[in-house]
Amino acid sequence: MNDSPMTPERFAALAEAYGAQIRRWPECDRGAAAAFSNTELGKDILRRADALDALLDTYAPPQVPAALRADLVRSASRHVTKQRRLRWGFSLAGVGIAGLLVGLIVTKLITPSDYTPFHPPELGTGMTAFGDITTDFGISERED
Amino acid sequence: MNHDPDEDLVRRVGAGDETAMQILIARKLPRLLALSRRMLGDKAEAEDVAQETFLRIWRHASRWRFHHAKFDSWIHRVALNLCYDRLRRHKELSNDDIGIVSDFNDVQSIAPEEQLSGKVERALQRISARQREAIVLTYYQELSNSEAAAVMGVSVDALESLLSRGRRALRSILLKDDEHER
Repeated sequence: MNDSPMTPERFAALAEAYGAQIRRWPECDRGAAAAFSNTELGKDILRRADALDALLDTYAPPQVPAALRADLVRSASRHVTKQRRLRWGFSLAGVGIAGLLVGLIVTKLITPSDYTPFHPPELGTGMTAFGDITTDFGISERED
Repeated sequence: MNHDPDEDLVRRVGAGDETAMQILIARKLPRLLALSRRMLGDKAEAEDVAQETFLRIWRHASRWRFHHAKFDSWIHRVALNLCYDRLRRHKELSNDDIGIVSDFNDVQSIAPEEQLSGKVERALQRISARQREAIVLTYYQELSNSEAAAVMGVSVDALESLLSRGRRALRSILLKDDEHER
């Protein structure tokens, strides 16, 4: 609360900024302003501000169209549905990823530590699952 | 920061509560529409801004941090930014600095109080956007000076300066219009 008395200049400046209704003025100035408003100068200043306020008050707020309200309610509903679908999609993706991780972990656990993966023989070497057939059949010695 | 009166409602909106969303629409739409209409002077543009503001509310409600700022201040800022986007677009499209034409076209068939309302609407469109913003936030939206200054990102002194200049400009326009009509 501002304890200093209201000066005419400050009173005029507040009326010029906020209009004639002291309830709209800064809270800290209202007490001193109310006292000054009873003076002749104060009343003159408020009358001038009130003339503009009266004009500003004629500019009534628009009615809210029912169609606009309905559109917004529909947009709210669409948003909620979309969020639910996204959450459902993330849940499914989460289950899929979890399953993949479990599969990898289980594979790692059950695979023997001395396991060496099978490497197929290079093409043309004669190497088969039964060994090198070129030495058995003398293929490498053929002179065709 | 004091408790935000919208906190419970916004939390429920963020959780996807459709009833809460409808309550928030009822609570905020009239003020947002009034703000946009007074900033833009155009019914259709104002409704677009109101719609877009709510779309952003739905998107951000679940992430809203209540200790950061009041929710009402935030939605005012969102709506004002959207208004400024439209004002900039209109300025780029228009060679003259006419501003958005209001839909009060046929003066003869309009009741006197509506004519006066139209005059004030047109006068508001003729002052600077920042002065208009200051007047709309304090006079029409009835935000306190500190709330309005916070929304505008200015000091209270700067806000008061904008208000004074804006009101002087309005008085001048409206009195001049009055003289022309006599």
